[in-house]
This record gives sequence, structure tokens and C-alpha cells, in this order.
Amino acid sequence: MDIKNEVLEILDDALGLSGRAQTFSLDTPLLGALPELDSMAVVAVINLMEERLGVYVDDDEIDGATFASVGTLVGFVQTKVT
Amino acid sequence: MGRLLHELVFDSARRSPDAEALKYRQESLTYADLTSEIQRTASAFRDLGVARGERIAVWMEKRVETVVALFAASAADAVFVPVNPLLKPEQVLHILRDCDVRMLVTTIERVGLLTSVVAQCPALKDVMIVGDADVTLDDVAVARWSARPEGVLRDAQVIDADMAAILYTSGSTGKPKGVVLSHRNIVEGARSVAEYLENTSEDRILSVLPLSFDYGLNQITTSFLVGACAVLINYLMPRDVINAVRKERITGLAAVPPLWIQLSLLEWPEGLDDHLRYFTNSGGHMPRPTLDALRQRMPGARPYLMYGLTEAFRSTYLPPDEVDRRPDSMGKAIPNAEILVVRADGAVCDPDEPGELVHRGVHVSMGYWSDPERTAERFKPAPGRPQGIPTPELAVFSGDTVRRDAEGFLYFIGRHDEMIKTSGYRVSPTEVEEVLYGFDGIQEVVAVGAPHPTLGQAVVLIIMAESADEALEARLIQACRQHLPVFMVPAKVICSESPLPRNPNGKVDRKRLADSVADLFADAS
Repeated sequence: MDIKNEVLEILDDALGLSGRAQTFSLDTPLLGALPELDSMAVVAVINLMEERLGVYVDDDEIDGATFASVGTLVGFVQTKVT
Repeated sequence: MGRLLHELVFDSARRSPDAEALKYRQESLTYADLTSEIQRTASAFRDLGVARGERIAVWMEKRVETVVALFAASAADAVFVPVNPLLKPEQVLHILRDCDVRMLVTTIERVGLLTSVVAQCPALKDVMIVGDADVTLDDVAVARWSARPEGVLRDAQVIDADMAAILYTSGSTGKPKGVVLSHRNIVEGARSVAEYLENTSEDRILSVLPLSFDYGLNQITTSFLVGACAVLINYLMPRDVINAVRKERITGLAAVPPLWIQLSLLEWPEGLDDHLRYFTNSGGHMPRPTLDALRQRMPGARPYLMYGLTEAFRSTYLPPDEVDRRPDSMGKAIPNAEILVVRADGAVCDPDEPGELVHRGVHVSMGYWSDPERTAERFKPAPGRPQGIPTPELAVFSGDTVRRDAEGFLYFIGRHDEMIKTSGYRVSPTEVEEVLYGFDGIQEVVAVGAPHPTLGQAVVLIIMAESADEALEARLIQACRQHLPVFMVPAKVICSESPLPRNPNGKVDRKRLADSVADLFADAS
């Protein structure tokens, strides 16, 4: 499974980015940089991660640092699926 | 004593140049650093041709450059327009066009979203971009934040009666309108608030709220006024806020009710109130169970319950010593403001008689930009002006219904335009909601009016609950029946498992909720 692509698709769908996520690299900042990502929208991202990747994410496991950039989020997802 | 917005920083730099002024992630600026950054940026704005009174919009997340840009606009004799970072391009476009923004400061990540917006803004001449990458835009000049030249800043030409900022706020109708604030509005607002919060240079104040919101901007201005340190955070999870309070040894925390509710449900580490001296609420009524839970989690921190509307910056606060005696009160006027409660004809109400809250004094803003009609509805001659004074004094008529008790404490009753009219009675949503605060199993509750063929409007209750079912609905209705007169009992309960929609300032978006139930009883006749 290409985790990075999965994560980008999840971001795109959950946040309604209309394909913008496909232009993101691992260095692309997320929290603060994306107008679509806030404390409400993050719930949709997590739900979609759970649904598509078959993982369970507890509230305690994530914070703003998890969503600092595409790279930090991909890193987090990697620890969940392996 | 500083009179202009940027002088808050410059004055503190003269007193203590080496004190920490601004912190964001690993970045830390002293007052001397911050002053020179503001001067350099203001001089760059001037070099690009920004003239006195022209508008500079800033559309970025909270970061050092955001704060620098706002204060630099002031130092350049210009006017800053902070745009909420959560807005989408459509709403940004409205703001840029509405007040003819001359220059936009934004980030490399955001500028790509604005390519079609820029073309629709004839007044926009320059876009300054924070971050590395080469960008060109049609019809505007692109400047790089990192390439700001070192320049010498000449003295400001403006005086404190001139406009300093335009803050956009939603009304009951139409698109958001721009509240024009003078330097004096903002500086005196900072002074009033710092006085009752007893802020000192020892404080470390967390900036959680958007700077596009008067209450959010206030954490920065009070902090700089007293020479304290403002700590910026873009939070995602409520726990990020608690972690920042601990890590940064925060002394003052300001938030709005939806965030306080989330924070009150979390575990708080012991000992935060070793440094956390106070917390403030504004932007809505803090539910009692939430206040109680917060006080239990940080017994050493003093709670300040505040009320304000952007049009008059800040209006009232309840001194912490009064919270136990009257937890539902919004307190009294802030220093240097007078709050009147008036009837429809402008006469002052008797004790406990509901009337409209009117704010007079130095915080009263300059009106809505380019909107004389809606300005005339809210900004009207202050009641009680001695007849011998031939010039009018404008006061803000809030649209909020309050009462004042015999001891002078104010109580919020409702907003004119959220007031529900059902079967001939006026019902305040909060009267219904209060009954259900702390009700087991629900996290948020909002009452709205839905058009109803026989009742005029019917009360509809919209709740957020983790697991909603018919049994919960039945228990809610039962509780309402128990505590409310029959005409206030909701006709319908709608459950949501996700948080209720917010407006960009983080308040529950009542208008959107009311719209969502507009057709609920269309077939009920």
C-alpha cells in the first residue's frame, strides 16, 4: 500500500480539496496552512482514515503536531498500519 | 503613553527591550526584535506605495509574520484587515472587494487559492508572500516577505482618531460587514481590559482565538500594552491548548464557549494553576456545568466572564469575586465605558426591566465600512445627552436584550434577531437551552425558531449527543416539560452526533441551524 497516496486521497476527500492534495509533497505544511483543516474538519479526516485504512485512532494519539505536515501525518499512519 | 496601535510595542521596547514579546513554536522575539521587524515591514509597505489610510489585508494562520504585518500596517499609517485563516476564497474575495484592499499579505500555501480572486479586485495592487517559491500573478505586483529591504521608518502622520483596522463580522442579514476601528478604540480597549485582568509584564498570554475577532486581537494588544509575552498557537485538538498552557507556563487563557466545553471534558494535568492566573470567556454564555468543571480543574485561576460586540470592542465583565454569587450575570461595564439598558423609545429601563443594551464611550467604533444604512441601525445618538450640547455622540445599540438588577449587574436575555416568537409569546433561545445545560448525554444544545403554520414559530431543539436515540429525545422533552412553561417546550428535537456548525469566530452558527429547520413544519397545517 502506498501510504502517502492513500493519505493524500483521504485529505482530499475529507476536506473537499478538489484534487489539490495531489500537488502536496511530504514537506507541505497542513495545520494552519490549509484553510480547510480545523478542529471540526479533523474529525472527518480521522473517520475516513479509520474507514479506508482499517485502523483505529484514539483521540489521545493525535494532536496538532500529527497534522503539522503531510510528512508527519504519513509517519503517524505508518505506525498505525504496520 | 502610546496612542497609536504600533506604539504599544515601541513603548514596551523602550521600557524593556530584552523582554520576550512574541513566541511561536521555536521562534521567540524580544520587544526590540519585534520593533525592528515592524519598522522594517512598515518601511517596505511604504516603499511599495501604500498611502495613509489604505487597507492591507492579512490572510495567514497565526504566526510571527501575521502579528508583524498587522502592527506594521499601523506604523505605515495604513489600516489592517485581519482575515480569518479559515475563510474560503469566496469570503476572502468579499472582504478584499468590500473595503478596496490595496495590499494583501499571505503565504505561499494560500496564494494559489487566490489566483481567480485577485483578478476580481481592482483596488488590489500588491501581494506580499511569506514563504519560498516563485509566484507571478496577473494584474498585481508580487513582493517577497523575505526580501523586505532594511529601511528607515519616518514618523507616523496619523492621530489616534484615525482608523487603524477593519474587522469583518456577520450580522443577522446580508454579507459580513467591516467594523472600522480607530487607533483609540483598540488602544483604549486594551487599556480597559488589561486594567481589570490586572495584566503585568510577568504575564504569558496564550493567543488561541483568531486575530480577525476583536476578542482574539485583544490578547495581543493587552499583552503588548503591559510588556507581557504573547504566545501564538494554531490548535487542532483541544488538548493542544492544554499542552501549550503547560509547556509555555501560560498565565492567561481566553476562549469561547464551544472550546471551553471541549476543554472542560478533558483531563487536566495537576498544577497548571501554579502559573495559570486567570481564564476569560466571551462570545457567548458559558454553561454553568462547564464553568463549574473548569473551576474544579484549575481552582487557582480566576474566571472572568465577559461580554462584548465587535462594534464596541468589549463591553462588560463579571469580576471573579462575584461569580459564586451571580454566575449567570454578564457583570458591569468595563473601565471607561457606560452601559445603558433602554426601552424602544430610548428611555432608561427600570431595574429588572428588559431592554436593549447600549454601549457609550471610547470603545464605540467608527461604523460599518461603506454601509451607511446598516451603520444607522446600530450607531445612534447616545441617550441622555444634555440638551445644551449641540453635537451628537454616537453609541452602539447592540440588538441584545438584557436586564439590570437593583445592584447594577447585567443579565443577558437574548438577541432581537434570534428571539423566537411562538404562539404569541417571545421566547429567548437561552431560556430553553439553560434547562438542558449539563443534561446527561448531550454535549451541545441550541434552540431555534422554525416557521410553523399555527404557532408562528415552533421551538426546535438541536443537540449534539454521542449516541442519540428516541429515548434520549423523550427524556429531553420530558425535562423541558418539567422546567418550562408549555409554550416554550420544543416541538421537535434534532440530534447530531458531530459538533454543531460554527461561524468563523467559533461561535455556534445559529443562523445556519435555523435555516436548516426552515421547512420542518411546512406540511404540518
